[in-house]
Amino acid sequence: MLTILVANRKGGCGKTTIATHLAAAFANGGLHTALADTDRQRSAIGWLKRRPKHDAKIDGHDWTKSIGKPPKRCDRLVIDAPAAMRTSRVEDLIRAADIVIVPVLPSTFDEAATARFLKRIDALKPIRKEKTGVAIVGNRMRPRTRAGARLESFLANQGHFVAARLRESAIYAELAADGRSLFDLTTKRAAALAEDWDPLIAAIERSR
Amino acid sequence: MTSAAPSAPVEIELKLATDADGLAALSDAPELDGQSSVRRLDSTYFDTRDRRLTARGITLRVRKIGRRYVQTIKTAGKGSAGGLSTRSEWEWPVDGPKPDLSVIDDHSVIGLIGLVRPQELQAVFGTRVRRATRTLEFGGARIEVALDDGEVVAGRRRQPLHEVELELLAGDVDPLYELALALNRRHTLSIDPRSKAARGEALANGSAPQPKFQSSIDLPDDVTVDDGLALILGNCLTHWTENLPAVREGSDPEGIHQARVALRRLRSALQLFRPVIGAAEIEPLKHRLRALGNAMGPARDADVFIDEMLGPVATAMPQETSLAVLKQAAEAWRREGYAEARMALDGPQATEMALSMGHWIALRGWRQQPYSPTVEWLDRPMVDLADQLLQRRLRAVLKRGRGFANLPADARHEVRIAMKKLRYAVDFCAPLYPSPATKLFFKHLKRLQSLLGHLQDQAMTEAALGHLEGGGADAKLQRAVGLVAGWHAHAMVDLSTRTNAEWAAFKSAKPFWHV
Repeated sequence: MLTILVANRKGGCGKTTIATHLAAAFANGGLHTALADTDRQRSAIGWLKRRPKHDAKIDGHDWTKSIGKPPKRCDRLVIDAPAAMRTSRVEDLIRAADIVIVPVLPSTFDEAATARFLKRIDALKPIRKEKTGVAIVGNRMRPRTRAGARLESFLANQGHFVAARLRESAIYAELAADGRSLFDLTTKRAAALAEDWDPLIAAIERSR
Repeated sequence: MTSAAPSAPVEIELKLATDADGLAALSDAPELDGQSSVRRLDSTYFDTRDRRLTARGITLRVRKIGRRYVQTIKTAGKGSAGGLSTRSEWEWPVDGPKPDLSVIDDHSVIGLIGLVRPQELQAVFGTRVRRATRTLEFGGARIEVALDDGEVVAGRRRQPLHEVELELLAGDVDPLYELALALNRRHTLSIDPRSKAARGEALANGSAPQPKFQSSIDLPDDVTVDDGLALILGNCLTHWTENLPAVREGSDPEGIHQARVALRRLRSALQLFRPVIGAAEIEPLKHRLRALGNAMGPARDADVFIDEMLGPVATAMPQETSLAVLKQAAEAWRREGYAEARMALDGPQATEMALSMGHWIALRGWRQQPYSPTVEWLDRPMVDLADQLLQRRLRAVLKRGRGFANLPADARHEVRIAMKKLRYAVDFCAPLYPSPATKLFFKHLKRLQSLLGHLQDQAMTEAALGHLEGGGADAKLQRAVGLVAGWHAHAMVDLSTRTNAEWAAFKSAKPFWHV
C-alpha cells in the first residue's frame, strides 16, 4: 500500500480537490483506493457522498475524530489532512505517509507561512532521512503570470521543486459539486486538463 | 504490494546463449529431433519515461504473432541459478501494436504495476526473432525447445541474438537440466541469465553488461537446513552466473573479480555444510570448482599487487618514474591473468559447471545420500546447525591464535585461514540472527581479517616482485622493485602492532549465536 498525504496549513489551497482527484485517478486505474478525511469540514466525505454509483469505487474513511487504522486490502490510501493541525498530529500522519503533497496557490500565496510549513516538515525524521518524499503542487496556475514565476523561484530557494502545475479551470468547481473528477470523464477537454496531473502521479508512483 | 499472488502462472525455463553457427548446428541436433514450427516474433517493450516498470522488475511487451497482437507482462525472476529462471507471466490479446493496460483483469498485476497513465508509456526497445519451436518428450518430461535467431534493436543500436530456450511444459526440472547438459556436450553454449528485456534495456542505455555484487541471502529465521541450503547455494550460484555476461563482454575487471568471489563463496558454502551435505556429494563438485578457481588465481594476484602493494607506493611518490615501469609490467601480467580467467569462465566447462550445480541444487543433491543420523539434520531448523558450525569455527580461530602477539608468520597464516572460514560461516548464517550483536561481531571480524589479509598479501609481494623483476636486466624495474619491497617491509612493523590490538578486540567480541 502506498499512502499519500495531502497537507498544507493554509486552508483553501485545493487540498480536497487534489486528494479527491488523486483517489479517483487511482480508482480508475483499477487500484483498490481509500480516501481518508481528517478535516472537520468533511469536504472529502461530502464529495464521496455525492459521487455517482457507476463511477470507480473509492472507500471513504472518516478520520475527523481520530486517525484510524490503514484499511486492509488497499493499494492506495489518500489522506486529506486538516488545515490548522497540531504538530504532533501532522507528524503522526507524515510518519504513516510515503509521500506528502503540498498544494500551493500562487495568487494567495504567503511566502512566510509556506516557508515555515516546509521548514517544519523538512525537519521531521522520515523526511529528513528521505524515507518520505515531498511534492509541491502549484494549484490554479495561470501560465506566464508573475505570481507563478515568483512561486517557482521562491520554492527553488527553499530546496523544493514543483512536481506539477495544475491550470486554473472552472471545471474543478463543477466536478466537486458532482462528486466527480477529471479522471471520471471521457471528454477531450477533461483529458487535456488531466494531463497536468501526469507528473504528480508519476512522482507519487516513483515513491513506492 | 510487491509480489505476485502465488497463483500467478509461472514459467520454468533454461536459457542458454550461443552464436549463429551454434544455432545452425542445434537445429540439426539428434537430441532435438522432431517436427519444428517456425514463427516470426516481433516484440516491442514499453516503459514510462521514468522507467517505473523496470524499477519494479516488470516487463511489458506487445508481440506481433502473424496478424495478432499479444500483450505480455512478466515479473522479475527469483534468481537465475544455473540458467534456470522462474518468472510470473500474464498474457492478453490486444487490438494493435500499442499496449493497453485497461485489459488487465487480474488485480495482483494491477497492484504490481500501480498507476500508469496510457500516454506515459513509450517504446524503449524491440526484439525481432525467428523462433523455431518443437516439443520433446525427454526423460518423462514434456519440454518445449525454442531456437531464437534474431536481434535486439534500440533506436539505431543493434545486437545479434542467438538463444536456446528449454521450457518445462510438464514433469520434473530434472530432465530439463539433463537435456541442457547433453546439448552442452556437443555444442557451444553459454549461460546468459539476462532476459531479452534486460538485454534490450542495456542496449537502449548503451551500457555493457554490469558486474553484479552478491545479494543478501533471504533466510527466514525458522528455515530448515534443507531449504536453507537451497537458498544459500542458490544465492552463490546466481552471484556467479549473473557475472558471466560481464566476464564475456564487459571491459570492467570487476566482472571477473565478482565471478571469482562467487566461485570462492560457492566452494566455501560446500565446505561449511559438508557435515550435512555428505562428502560423497561434494567431492565431484568441489573438484571442478577448484579447477575453475585456479584459473582465476593469477588475475587475483595481479589485482592485489597493483591495488594494494604498488598503489600506495605510487600515490606517495608520484615523481618516481621507475614505478611507472613496474606498473606497466604489472598491467601486462594482469592482462594475461584476466585473459586466462576469461577463457576458463567462457568455456564449455563453465557452462557445464553452472548447469550441473543448478541441477544438483534443484534436485537437492544432499537429500540423495544414504540414510544416516546427519540426514535427520536436514529437517531441523537451520539456526540449530548454524549455532554449532559458528561455534566450531570460532573455536578453531581462538585455538590457532593462542599467544597471538608472539606467533611467527606461518602460525599467523594458519590463524588467517581459520579466520577466513569463520568469515564465510558468518556471511552465510548471519541472516538468521538479525540483531545489533551480529553487526558488531562482524565489524570486529572484518577488521581483523583485513589486517591479517594484508600480512599475507605482503608475504606474497616478494613472490610477485620476483616474478615481475624478470631476471633483473632493467635497472629502473629493479629500483621500483626495491622501493615497493622496502616500503612494505617497513609497513609490516606497524601493521603487526595494529593487528595485535585488533586481535584483542576481536577476542572480546561477544558471539551473536546461541552458545
